[in-house]
Amino acid sequence: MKAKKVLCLVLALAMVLALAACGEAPAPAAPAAPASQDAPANSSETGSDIGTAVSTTSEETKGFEFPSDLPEFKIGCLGVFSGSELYIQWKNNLQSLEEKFNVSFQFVDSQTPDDVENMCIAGVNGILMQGCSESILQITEKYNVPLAVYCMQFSDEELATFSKYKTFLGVVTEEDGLGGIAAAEAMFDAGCRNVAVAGLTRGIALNIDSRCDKFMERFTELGGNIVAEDYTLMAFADSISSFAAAYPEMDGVFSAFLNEGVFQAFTTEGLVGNAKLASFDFTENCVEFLNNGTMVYTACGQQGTIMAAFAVLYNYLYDGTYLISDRSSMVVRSWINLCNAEDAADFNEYIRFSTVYSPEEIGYMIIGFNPDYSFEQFQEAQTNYSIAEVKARSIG
Amino acid sequence: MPAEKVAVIEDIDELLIKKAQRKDMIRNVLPFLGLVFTIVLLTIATHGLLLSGQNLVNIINQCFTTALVGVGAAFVYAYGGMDFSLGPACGLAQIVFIGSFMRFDMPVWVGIILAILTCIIATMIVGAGSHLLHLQPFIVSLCVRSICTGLLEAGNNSMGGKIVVPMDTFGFFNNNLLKTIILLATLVISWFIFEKTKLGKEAKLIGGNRVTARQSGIRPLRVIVLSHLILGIMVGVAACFMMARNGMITSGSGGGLEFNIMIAMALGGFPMEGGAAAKIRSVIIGVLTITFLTNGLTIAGVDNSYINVIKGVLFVVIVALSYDRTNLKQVVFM
Amino acid sequence: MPKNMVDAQNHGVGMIVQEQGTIGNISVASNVFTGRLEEFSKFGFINMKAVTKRAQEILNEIGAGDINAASLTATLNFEDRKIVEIARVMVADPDILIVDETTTALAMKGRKILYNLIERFRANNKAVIFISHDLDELMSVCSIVTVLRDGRIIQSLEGDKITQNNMRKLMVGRELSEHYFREDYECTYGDEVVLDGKQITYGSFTNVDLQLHKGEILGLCGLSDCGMHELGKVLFGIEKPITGRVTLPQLDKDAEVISPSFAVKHGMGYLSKDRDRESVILNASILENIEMPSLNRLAGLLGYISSNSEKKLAQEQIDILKIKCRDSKQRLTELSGGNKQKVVFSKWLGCKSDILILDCATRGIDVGVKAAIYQLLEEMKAEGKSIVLISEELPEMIGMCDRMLVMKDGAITAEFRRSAELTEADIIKYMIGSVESNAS
Repeated sequence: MKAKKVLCLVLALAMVLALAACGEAPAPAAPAAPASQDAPANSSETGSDIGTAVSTTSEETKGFEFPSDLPEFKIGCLGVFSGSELYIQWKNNLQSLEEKFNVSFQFVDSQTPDDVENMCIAGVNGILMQGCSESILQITEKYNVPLAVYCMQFSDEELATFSKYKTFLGVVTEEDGLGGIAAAEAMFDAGCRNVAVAGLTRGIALNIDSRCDKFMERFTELGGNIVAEDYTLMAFADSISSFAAAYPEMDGVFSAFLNEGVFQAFTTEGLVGNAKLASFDFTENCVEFLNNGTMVYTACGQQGTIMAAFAVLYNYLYDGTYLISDRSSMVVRSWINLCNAEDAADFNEYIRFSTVYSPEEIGYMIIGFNPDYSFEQFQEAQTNYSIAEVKARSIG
Repeated sequence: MPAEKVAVIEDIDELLIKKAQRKDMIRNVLPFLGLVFTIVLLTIATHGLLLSGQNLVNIINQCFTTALVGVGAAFVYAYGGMDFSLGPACGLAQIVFIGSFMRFDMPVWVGIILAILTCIIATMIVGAGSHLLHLQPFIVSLCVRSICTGLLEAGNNSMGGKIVVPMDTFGFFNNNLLKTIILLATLVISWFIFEKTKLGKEAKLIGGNRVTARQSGIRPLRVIVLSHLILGIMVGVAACFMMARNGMITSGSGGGLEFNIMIAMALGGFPMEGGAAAKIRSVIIGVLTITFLTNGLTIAGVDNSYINVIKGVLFVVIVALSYDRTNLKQVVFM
Repeated sequence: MPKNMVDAQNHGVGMIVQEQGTIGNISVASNVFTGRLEEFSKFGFINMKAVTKRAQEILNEIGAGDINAASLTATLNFEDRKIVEIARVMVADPDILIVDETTTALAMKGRKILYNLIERFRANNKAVIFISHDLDELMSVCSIVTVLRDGRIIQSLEGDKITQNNMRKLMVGRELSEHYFREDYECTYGDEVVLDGKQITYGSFTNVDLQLHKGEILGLCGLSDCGMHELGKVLFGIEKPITGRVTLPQLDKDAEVISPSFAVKHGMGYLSKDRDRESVILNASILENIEMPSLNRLAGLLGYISSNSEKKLAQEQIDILKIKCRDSKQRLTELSGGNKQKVVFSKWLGCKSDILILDCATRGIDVGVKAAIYQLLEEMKAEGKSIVLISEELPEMIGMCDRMLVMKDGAITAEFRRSAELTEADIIKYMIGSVESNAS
């Protein structure tokens, strides 16, 4: 009987912790986005998008041809590749490159030193990872496996240490703080003055903490007022409900990322029309909320980042080129800033379920294929990344 | 009575003894067969990479934390206790260690002692607290878990959210030879204490029946305190190595440790209710099985989500086959 | 053959078991109507009031009106819980009733209730299978006695053939020598007091004084709720007395028995009435059970215990007490009650205890083992060991004890010295005496 009781309690606890673990991954995007429902429904659309992207590449990449007889590479991808539409899209986007580049990917939803070690033993030629540490680089150095990092930010000291390792190829990421600043500005412009902030438990993911910090910093700088903050795991719905009850003067909510609870709370608490919402990521409900003007800003568009990181990795694999010559500074990609219904529609069509870059466009970034290509061009492409840019490339 | 009837009865007697022996065999042999089966299957699936010299070194590295904490936890589970606060306690010890070094410029050896002390305090509250206050260890360890999680988050935030461990100072923790020596020494010493000394025997007897053990002159409090002391030391030592292995500390550090250990114990056939059937070798077999599984399946290129499914299925099968049902006999209705 | 117990119940077979058969944390009434509560339900709601009322009626009917049907079962003592089970059988009204060793758990009150129940079955032409070790009881209750030994049916006795001697012979398989209890009628013991209880108050007894001498067998008898079982626990330090103290004068006049570990360390041993739950570890081996109190003695440097020394200890005891087993690694679950009891004795013999507190030492074991235990007690006495014998079985007490203390309602009401003239009636008077005097 006792053993049974214990087993029940353990299972219950395991469930709670599994939930908590979703938040523990240093994930910059919403862990609980309703991906499972939407992804299949849009899959046909996705397919056609790939088609258009491939057939209508932008001016510069027109006429780009892959060299024949490319060597075969196996690439280990460590991070999160299931559970939300962004993560699944990362996986899909990488897989769209497999054929043309003659590479194969192995995905692991975890990124401990153990995983890196196992990948190296498994004989991967390179690693794409959503995180990094010195002890991990010691492992890659031992096995001489290059590593490129996507969607994660590091301090200057860390990068200085990392760049001492020859297997460290650099970081391609968005700057979460910039998104926070943009959100603050959008909110202030929309007339909000008393705003509440809901975030993830502090210390779990630094990048998500910095979204809130930069938002609050910028918003107070502009003359606004932060009425409340709450960082209770992912219980955004509860946080927003309490805000609405305790602060009737509240006219805006910033949430560090989106989950269904945010929209639910806005609807049930009667905040729609009375308060504005700014956040990160994109889910189905964003369309409606951007339409009715409740949502004034959301930062998204990380779908393509992993492909840019792939370009960095492949450059090294192909002929040992460090595309990012100064590995001690990160390559920062722009966010896709969504402020209205039109943006939302474009995002839905060109980025959300599409590959963002065609294999040719990525191939164009490989100096071994295209000796004219330079780091400056790569940097520029990341900075210029916007909804208009993607749209222009897709339509041609 | 006709003679043949008597013969039949004798057969039944023998049958019962055979049944009991078979059950003992299942408990003793099945986890071992499971380990062998895992290794053989994965060696084939990885074309021999699993047993390559380099990977065997990695296996030691990868099972290090679980093995260390597992043998410590064996004492606690043997006497019928439990501790769900191990993960956060381990994380907290890392923060204390690095904090003493970075903030207060204390030497590394002081940090090691502080880390171990932190874990001892946490495990001691769970053990002695639950015994003295007559509370379920589960409840007490949930409280301690909560306290440790809170302190870990607070400490982590006060040091800037993500703490990068300076490898030039702490790199020696990643030395494979050092780890191997510590691991082997721990296994030998804990096997000796668990199977050959008074403490180990008393712990198992208390797990078998606390009332009887007490009435036979065994002092439960003493055994409980010592068992949790051993666990605390193990977690503390593991925390130091885990810190260097991960190279950073976040508020999620150490997370899941307590569950990994429980899964390893169950896979090794360690009785979760404690008692005489508890063996250190069960823990070792369990830890090796789970490490080989995770390691081998990744090397073989199996998708991560399936690895968890496979672990779950194995867990259920082994627990179902080796779980001791004799305790259930007492439920009598009529 | 019934598939399971529910199937048996549905086909009119009822059973009262030896072990605890009630559920502790529900009310008495719910226990009486276990499995039948739907008879009281309306729209899925159970009318607990009606259940309690009906249960109380049944309890009154069988003469156990002092048990409150609304109370929590766990608050009842072992005997009353058995009576609750009897009430449950009354409700079920089966055609065949199996009573398994139930009376060993019962004192006078419960036995009377059970015998009445059996009489009623007989009167209604229904059958009762009565399983017991108590020969007197078998003689008075049964019309046919079937003797089993070593898992086989040996013989059935009927009518005049049912005699104590016949049954004993069949049970043991050989002629029992008359040597069963002590043959001397001398009250012999040394002058030194080895265990001294002064003014002890705990639970249901108050200000009890008790002195145990070297080489003495001291009996504590009374009805099961008179406080003697608790007194045994206090003497061994398991329960802390509210007032008074228990000391070991030979050690030091202030050597107070404060815990079982202290008691064991200073040569005391205790056998609980609830053997399976308190005196043995069922899932552990014979060896592990025997070495339990001796661990301190076996332990060498750093607490090391060599396998040889444990095996030697266990094998010695197995040989001395003739414990029937494959080897010392056999688990206790596979042993019979008598052999389990022998293991408990060997536990304390193995650690050379000088003072033994035995609570119902012969409860639920067969005649052969009983005789062995009586002989063992005599030998221990001869070696100068002191024994406190707590029991409800008066023949055993009269047969073995040097002195007997009779307890009633938490106080010692009489003291008897060993003599050939002492009869059960003399003692019973003091066990229930004042009740009668109150009634008259």
